[in-house]
Amino acid sequence: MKEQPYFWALNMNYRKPKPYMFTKSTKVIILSFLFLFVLWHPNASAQDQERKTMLNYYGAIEFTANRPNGPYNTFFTLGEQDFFITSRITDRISFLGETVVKFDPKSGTTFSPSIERAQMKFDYYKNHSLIVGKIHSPVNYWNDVYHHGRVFFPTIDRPVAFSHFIPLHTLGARLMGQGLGKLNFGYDFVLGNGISSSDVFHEGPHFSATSSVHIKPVDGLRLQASYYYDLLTKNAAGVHSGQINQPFDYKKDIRYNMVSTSIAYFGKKVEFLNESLYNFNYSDSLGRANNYSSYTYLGFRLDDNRVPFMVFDVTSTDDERELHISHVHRIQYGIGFRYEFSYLLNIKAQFMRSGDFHKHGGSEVPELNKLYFKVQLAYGL
Amino acid sequence: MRMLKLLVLLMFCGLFKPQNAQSQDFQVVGNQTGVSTLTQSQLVSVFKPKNNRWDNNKAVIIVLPGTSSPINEKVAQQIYSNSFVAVQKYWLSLVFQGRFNAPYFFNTDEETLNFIRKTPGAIGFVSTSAAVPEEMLIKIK
Repeated sequence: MKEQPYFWALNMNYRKPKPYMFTKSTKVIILSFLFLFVLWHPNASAQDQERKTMLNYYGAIEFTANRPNGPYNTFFTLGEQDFFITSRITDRISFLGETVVKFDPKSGTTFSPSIERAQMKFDYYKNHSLIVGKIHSPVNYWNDVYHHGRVFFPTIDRPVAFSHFIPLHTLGARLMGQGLGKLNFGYDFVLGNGISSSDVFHEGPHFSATSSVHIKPVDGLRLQASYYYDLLTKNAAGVHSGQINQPFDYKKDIRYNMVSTSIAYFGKKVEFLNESLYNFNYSDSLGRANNYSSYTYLGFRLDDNRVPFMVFDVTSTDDERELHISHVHRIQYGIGFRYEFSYLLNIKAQFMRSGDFHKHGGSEVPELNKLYFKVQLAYGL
Repeated sequence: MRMLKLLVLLMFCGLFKPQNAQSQDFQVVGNQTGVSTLTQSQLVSVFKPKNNRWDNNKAVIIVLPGTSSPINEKVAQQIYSNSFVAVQKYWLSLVFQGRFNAPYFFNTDEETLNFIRKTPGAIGFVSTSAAVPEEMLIKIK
């Protein structure tokens, strides 16, 4: 019988193969919990306010005309359908859940549900909170602010890097602070199940670690920098990043590092977003592999409804020494237009050109052979 | 004196408009917030929102005028310097991020006052014609 990952927890006679001491990250998380329980005085919180639970629904329907490598295709797409729930349980504790039903070719109905977020927030002191559960890894602006709500996206699609090396989710504990001081300083520190884990299990005594800081010096502007580290045990593919279920030939540990910066300005006239990522991974066999991505969005708000915009996105994970992330070296750019009927309904049209880099005469040149035109109707209820 | 004359002249021309919520188009009301007076910039930072809790440790409960409230655009302009639709979008985005709890929206003064009266830490807006108990009124300097 194949041993299940949780078998040792169910069988009292089972001897764990190699006992280990708690790692530093495990100690930090346990001490944090103890510290917060000591700080928490339940009687001090008035709980006589009304409980409030809200259920929202977000989704998108798309039309695409594309020319991937030859003749044109035209088709409609039913995008992700997002059930979003928030509940204020006490004046210090609240819950947020997000379950998405999305296309899944392996499912009998070609759609299957996915729990994207399930998090409990405890405001333990002023603007400082502890969050436990499955969260969006606060590594950059896009992942923190938009994610599954297409009605919030400034463009139709996410940056390409989201499908390759961004750690989208973490299941664990997060310390969050915000609105601190004149610059509205904020921080997020996260320990949890990282890239190579699932939502019920992680092999080895290690956690992924995220450190992220931001400031909001003026209205509409947010500047953010973050660092993410994870030890990918046996180079396993988990469920918390873009490269899911890929068979990897390399079966030893990989040390994953990512540095990210975000500049976001959404003003009354101009909207600007730049997400820059640098990822470097270490393996015992090939050493250090370097990957990067840069995404830029620029929009001009003509009035309350109309926003023409442009997008430039380049991603490279094509380092020969890269053993975990799927290889791509892609550039794409285009123009678009967004019309906002209300804050819960908008339509976007976008024309994009993209292609992969190929070696040509000793240097790499992009072959911009892919064109697509998309229209997306995004809604929230 | 010369500066004062200039200001009076600008006000006549409509170029300079003092932003004072209390003396303008709505009243600010609260319950057990620990404050009876706020400056305009403090009021804005409460609703942006800057803090989760008041100094008396009560949670800040934001109450905003709803879609059919006659003061929603005035509040949006004077507090958020934006349209009411933009304010709704702003809050939806904050809630979606999981950073703040959703505000409460009410369309009438009566609903707003009833809710604030029974909710410690709540703060919101009613029209200038609403009869507000003195202990709930927050003056804007």
